[in-house]
Amino acid sequence: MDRINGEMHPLITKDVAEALISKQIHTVLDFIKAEPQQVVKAARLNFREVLAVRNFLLKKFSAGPRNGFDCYRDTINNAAIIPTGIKGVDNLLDGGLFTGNIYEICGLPAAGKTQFALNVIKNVVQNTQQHVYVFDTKNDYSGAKIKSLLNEQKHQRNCLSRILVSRATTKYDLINGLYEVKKDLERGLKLRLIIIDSLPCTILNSIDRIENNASLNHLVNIMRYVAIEHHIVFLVVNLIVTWNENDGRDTVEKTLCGKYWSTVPNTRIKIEKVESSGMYKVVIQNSDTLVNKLNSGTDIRLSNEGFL
Amino acid sequence: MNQSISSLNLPQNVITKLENAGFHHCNDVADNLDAINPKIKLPDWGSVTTAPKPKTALELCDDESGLTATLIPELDPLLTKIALPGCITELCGFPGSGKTQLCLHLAVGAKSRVVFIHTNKNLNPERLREICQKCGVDADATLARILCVEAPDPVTLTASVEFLRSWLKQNSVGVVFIDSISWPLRLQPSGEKTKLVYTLLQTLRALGNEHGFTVILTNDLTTRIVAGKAYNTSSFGEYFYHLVNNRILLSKEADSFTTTAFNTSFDRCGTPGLQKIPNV
Repeated sequence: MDRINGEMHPLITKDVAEALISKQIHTVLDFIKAEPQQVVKAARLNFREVLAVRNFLLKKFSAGPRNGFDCYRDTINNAAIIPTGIKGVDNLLDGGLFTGNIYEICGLPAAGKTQFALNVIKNVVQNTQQHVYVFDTKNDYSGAKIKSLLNEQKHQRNCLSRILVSRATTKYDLINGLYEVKKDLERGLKLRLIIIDSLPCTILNSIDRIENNASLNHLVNIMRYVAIEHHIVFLVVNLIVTWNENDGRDTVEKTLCGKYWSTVPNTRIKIEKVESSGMYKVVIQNSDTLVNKLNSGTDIRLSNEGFL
Repeated sequence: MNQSISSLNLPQNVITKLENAGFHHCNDVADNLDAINPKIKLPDWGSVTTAPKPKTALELCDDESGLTATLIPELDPLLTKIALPGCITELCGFPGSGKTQLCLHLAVGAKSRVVFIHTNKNLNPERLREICQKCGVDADATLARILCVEAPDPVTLTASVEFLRSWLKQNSVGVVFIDSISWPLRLQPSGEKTKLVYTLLQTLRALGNEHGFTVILTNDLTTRIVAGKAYNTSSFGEYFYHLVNNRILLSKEADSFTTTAFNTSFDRCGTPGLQKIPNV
């Protein structure tokens, strides 16, 4: 709901804008909803001018339809697949992480979620000249840890300088941070991957579900805008907790952040550590595109260079 | 796409007043701050709309310096790597396994000022003096560096963290100890527990990032039952395990203490490191 100001239309000068605001017509929506006669009196413009401005505002500020073929052409030209660098997972995901999508990686604590994200970061900075942006809500991304991951000595400094880490600890920091990333992208930052590690840390400090869902909604809006308009992959880390039912005989697993959040990611990947073999199992729990791969998984091994 | 003011950390009445006056987006408010200020009382607009500045990994590498010298040479390699500013290290173990003793040793060994929040009356100044003498450091100077705060219940614990926020504007601290985190929160209902722990620790983490100190907590062990089998693990469960950066399990065998590190923010391969410390 944009506020009426002097720069919108040649007929709306600063004085006209002030006159409208004093008559309680603050925003574009107020202008369009008001009776034209009212606006004529308030703005001291004639009827034809008011109608012209009205049509102009309607065209500029409403959500117009886009041509499907233009959408398709735009996707073909700009979309990309970011491989994770782990062969089994790339096969599972039909190539890797697709831009314009929000991926969620969930698992029990110490299941390997941050390690997975680090693998993807390593793959992106070592093989492309792109940047990676990480919203590190729990200080798990230390300089030393990231450095030990990148084994190529000669380009190490260049790779390290392309990994941007923001220490956002609250949900408001996260939302404000994403709007700043959007501004950076508009100024030409070469970015294809944004990681949020982890989401529960920002919302578990409040048990008010309404407040949490409202913030999540704002977060999801800016995430989807950035993912689609700027062709970015989002990888969000989420937590699974367990509790007991039936007097301890059954253990139930629950993925955090609520039912609303569970509808948001395009693909949800679960990672778990298999104690007996020391391997890690990666399973696709939910996806809107990889429907034929649902519940299928792959086993990966952790080595000194990361997941293989 | 413009940022809506309802996504900001503002009180609801301020948001309602702004919306009634026709301001729905952040850039509208920012452009008209002078016009709004006399009518609607706004908090500092800059701090509400800006996010923490991102740093590159290269800058992080250059800035990082963990706990230097702990007076326990066996633990030095581990702690200096993992106890970084803004990180939370948890020491857990059965009663008598040496958690408070380790905290006291670390408090004496840290070269900078230290804040020791004690919740279960385990802090003994005489023991601190003893440690200073055994390690050959000046007891009076060391004790003057250690600031103690007693916080036996959740209200005083929250209050001490808020106190830190204003106190840190004029003072600096290297380590904040909380011994123990489980004592004040044991009797809270479980929904409240998670909320309290997360609010406290994320506030401490944000302050640690801003002012450059690390947090060390002690926690108790409890029994959990998973799939019919019982095992011992730290209290507060998975929510807490997810939140801390490093977890060190302490145990006592005969005359020496053993530490095992889990889920450290550094050790990628996840193998716990075992260290034996002689009794001192």
